Amino acid sequence: MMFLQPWTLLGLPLVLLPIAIHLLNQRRHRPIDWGAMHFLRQASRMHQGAARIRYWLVLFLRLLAVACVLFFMSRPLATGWLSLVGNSASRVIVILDCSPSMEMTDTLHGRSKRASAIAKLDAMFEAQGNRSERILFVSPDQPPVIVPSDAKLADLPETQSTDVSAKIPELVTQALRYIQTEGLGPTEVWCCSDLQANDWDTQSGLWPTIRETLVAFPFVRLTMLSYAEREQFNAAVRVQRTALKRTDRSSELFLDFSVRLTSGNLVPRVLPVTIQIGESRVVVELELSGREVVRNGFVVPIDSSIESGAGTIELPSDANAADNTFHFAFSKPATMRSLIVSDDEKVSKVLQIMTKTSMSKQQPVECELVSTQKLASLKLDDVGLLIWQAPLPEGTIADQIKQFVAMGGAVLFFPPSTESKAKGNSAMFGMRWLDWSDVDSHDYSIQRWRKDTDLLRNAESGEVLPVDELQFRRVCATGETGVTVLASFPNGASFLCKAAADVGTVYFCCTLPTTECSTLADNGVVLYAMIQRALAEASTSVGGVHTVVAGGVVPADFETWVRVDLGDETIVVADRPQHAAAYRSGKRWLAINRSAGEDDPTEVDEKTLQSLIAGGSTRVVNDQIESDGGLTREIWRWFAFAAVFALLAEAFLTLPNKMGASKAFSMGGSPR
Amino acid sequence: MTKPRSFLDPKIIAKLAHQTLESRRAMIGSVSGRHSSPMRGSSLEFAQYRKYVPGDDTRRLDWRVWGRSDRSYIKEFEADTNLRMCFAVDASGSMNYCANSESGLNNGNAENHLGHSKLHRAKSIAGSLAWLAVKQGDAVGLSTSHPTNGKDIPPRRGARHLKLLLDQLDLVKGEGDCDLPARLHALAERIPRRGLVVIVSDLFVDLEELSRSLEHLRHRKHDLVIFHLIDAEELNLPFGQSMKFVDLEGGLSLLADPVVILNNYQRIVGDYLSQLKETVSKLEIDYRRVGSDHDLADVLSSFLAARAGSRKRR
Repeated sequence: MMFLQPWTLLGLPLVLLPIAIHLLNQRRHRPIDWGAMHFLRQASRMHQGAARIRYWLVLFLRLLAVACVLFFMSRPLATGWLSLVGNSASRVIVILDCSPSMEMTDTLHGRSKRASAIAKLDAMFEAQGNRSERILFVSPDQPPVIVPSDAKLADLPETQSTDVSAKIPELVTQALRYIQTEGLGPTEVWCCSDLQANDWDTQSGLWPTIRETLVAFPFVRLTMLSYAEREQFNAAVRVQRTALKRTDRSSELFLDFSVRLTSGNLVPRVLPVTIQIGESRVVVELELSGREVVRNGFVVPIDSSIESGAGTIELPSDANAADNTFHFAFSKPATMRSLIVSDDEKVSKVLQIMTKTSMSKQQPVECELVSTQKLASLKLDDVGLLIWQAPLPEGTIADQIKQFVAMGGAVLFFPPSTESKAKGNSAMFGMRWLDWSDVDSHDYSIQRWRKDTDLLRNAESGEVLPVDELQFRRVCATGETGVTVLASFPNGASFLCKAAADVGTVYFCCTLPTTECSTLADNGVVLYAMIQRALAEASTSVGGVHTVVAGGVVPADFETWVRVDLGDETIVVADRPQHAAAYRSGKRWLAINRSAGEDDPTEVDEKTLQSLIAGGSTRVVNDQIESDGGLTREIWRWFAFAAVFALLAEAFLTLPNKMGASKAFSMGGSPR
Repeated sequence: MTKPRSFLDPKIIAKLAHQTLESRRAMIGSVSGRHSSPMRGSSLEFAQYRKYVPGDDTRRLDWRVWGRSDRSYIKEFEADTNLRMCFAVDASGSMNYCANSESGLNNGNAENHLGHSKLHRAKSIAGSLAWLAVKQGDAVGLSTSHPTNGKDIPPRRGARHLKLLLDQLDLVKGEGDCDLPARLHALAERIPRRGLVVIVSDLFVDLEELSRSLEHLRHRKHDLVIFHLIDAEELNLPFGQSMKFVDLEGGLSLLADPVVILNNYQRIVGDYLSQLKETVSKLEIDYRRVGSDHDLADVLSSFLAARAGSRKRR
């Protein structure tokens, strides 16, 4: 609770006035000579207990009335939801989740979660007279924004919606570090978010540090303003893969896309999905009968003269417009360059054969072999597929590979040939090589694998890959977190894993295509399919086509790129990488989209949230978009009512007893 | 020249001048008077015949009866005697209570005695009735209940005695506790013959003790009259704010909020009045409650009229 006119509280000692008056009155009791003392003493004795209670009650009510009047005059403010423990700090840090999921809009009010949070914060600051110093954090990659005292959050360009995931742990850490480095005193931190798990990254190693910092900074109070409601219908669309196939007379664009229900009830419905490429538009009716519908290989006929381009796929309007559109870029099959990093001649020989054998005449392939000795000159600019059969990289090389994946590249990791090289502390994309072990080839076969998607999926004709015919003699164990297992052995050990990456693909195969390890090379079919499919996925990043996540790495000359979709042109150039759009620069195309995690409706539940910010002064405030209640409001009316109530109650308690008066003894006119 | 006495109101005297004080019971006086006696006497009013017994005065034989029936009967007549009237006036401190005109309990009677203490009104009642009694030849006495300075004047007739009695009344001052029951016990023992005992008091005493003393008096065949001087304020506690009640009988003062204790107070007073009513009813006492708003002339006049009526009916 804070006060707009706190100096009025200097009068608080006045609450002692009723006590002083009472004590004075004790001395100024009107004396009266009385004969019937016998009756009076008896009555007083009978009423002693009740009289004492009444006496203290009356005195309390008088104190309360004076105190309420003083509080009323000081114009108190309370934060919403009847929480009287409110904002009294002179500095307020606002951490704002500007991710696409925060654009969930209440159809009645037409206000998004982000807009609602900003409006309420603005109203709170305005009610407080904009006296607090406000610092805004919206992205860990950007410095904090000192909000001018006369400005509203809603008017700042930094508070506008973006397609970048919020990275809440990084933002909270950034805010706490700011408090520490600036030596700020009592600070109120408001973190506004929809608690989407993708933004909160509950597995982040930053949370323990955050908790420790909050405990160490008792003067910092963290308030989570959450908008976790997901009741209105909302669907998100996403393109997984594009492939342009050209013939002499026509061209066809093959699209793999999915539509996911992110909020609302699961009611079967038909959604018109619009695919727009240049001037041409295709509308396809998609029946959304489950949580997610995937359409692979949807064919869009395009002009045969088009060799590359960009387009959008769009859903009809729903609760969140930010995930209704997805941009994609495509180009004709370009020379597919693959790079093999290996010191093992046997392995590299097999892999080279597999990569150099193209499935299509239209797609020329090239393959280069690099030993680990020459990694310093590693160049991944035009590479589509990187096959890494060496110890997991560290340092600069690791960063280079991550950037390669972020630009749409595909990586297939094989374990190092020798055990000593395999075992190490380095990890990439949540995977780590452990020990090699010899296994019985008869018992060690793969029975279960993903046949619907990824590298081991069935052929387009429906034929199943002979994965179960593979035999294994040596397998390298893995330490894995956050990866998807595509095929596993009967004992649960992984054979093929896919690491989580917003753009690009990363696979880990746990054995080698050598006679000593497996029949991958002898069998051939499975390994060939795996490598060719990895090449196909990598093709999105070659041929001048890039697909990146909003807020991610963009080409160095991005400022010169021209936007080709019909989106908002008012976005300044510096902010463009944060907004979904399609761009073109000569023959190169770039599609920027929200991350895949933004389409995942998983939320951080209340219990997890409490555990994440446990310790220190924290609280969680659950708000709703449609709620009109403010975060802060003047509560002088409460004190006015309380004062009136106290005075009325006091008057009631001190009123003469009418019941008694009605029973008064009458002397009558005649003395009988 | 006789000193004017403040408690004797000429208006009251004038109103009582044409009335008589009658006893409700047969009295045993010392001289002939206007009151009936349990003895047979020489009045004109026939009482009864009874058989002659040796020793009877032969002058009272009814010779006509003897002539007709040859039996000796004595013809008896009612005896009229004077009245021995004794006032028991409460002179305790509580009798100094003076009705508070600010309390708003004045019922509009212009002739009330607001501003006079209860003791003053007690003196008025006793003085006026004493004057009337002496005027009609009755003997009057006085006993004032006072813990240290109680006075007892035995009943006598005559103007000089009346003067003595009024002088004594004039000197009475209210103070201290009330020892009325003890006084009444003593009075019961001291009055040799049946008489009229008039008690003028606020009766702020233990009702058990009072009841026993009244029973004592009744046992001695005295006719009892009580003028209960109690004020409406004392019954209803009509004060709207906390007050400091100073005990007129010298006890500790008490701070009390009448608003708070009113219910209990009235319940206690109600019980007290009920118990008193039961006592006076049981002992056939002529009970009169007199408030500060009552006109004493009316009070006494109605009292005398009621007693005269009861005599006619007897």
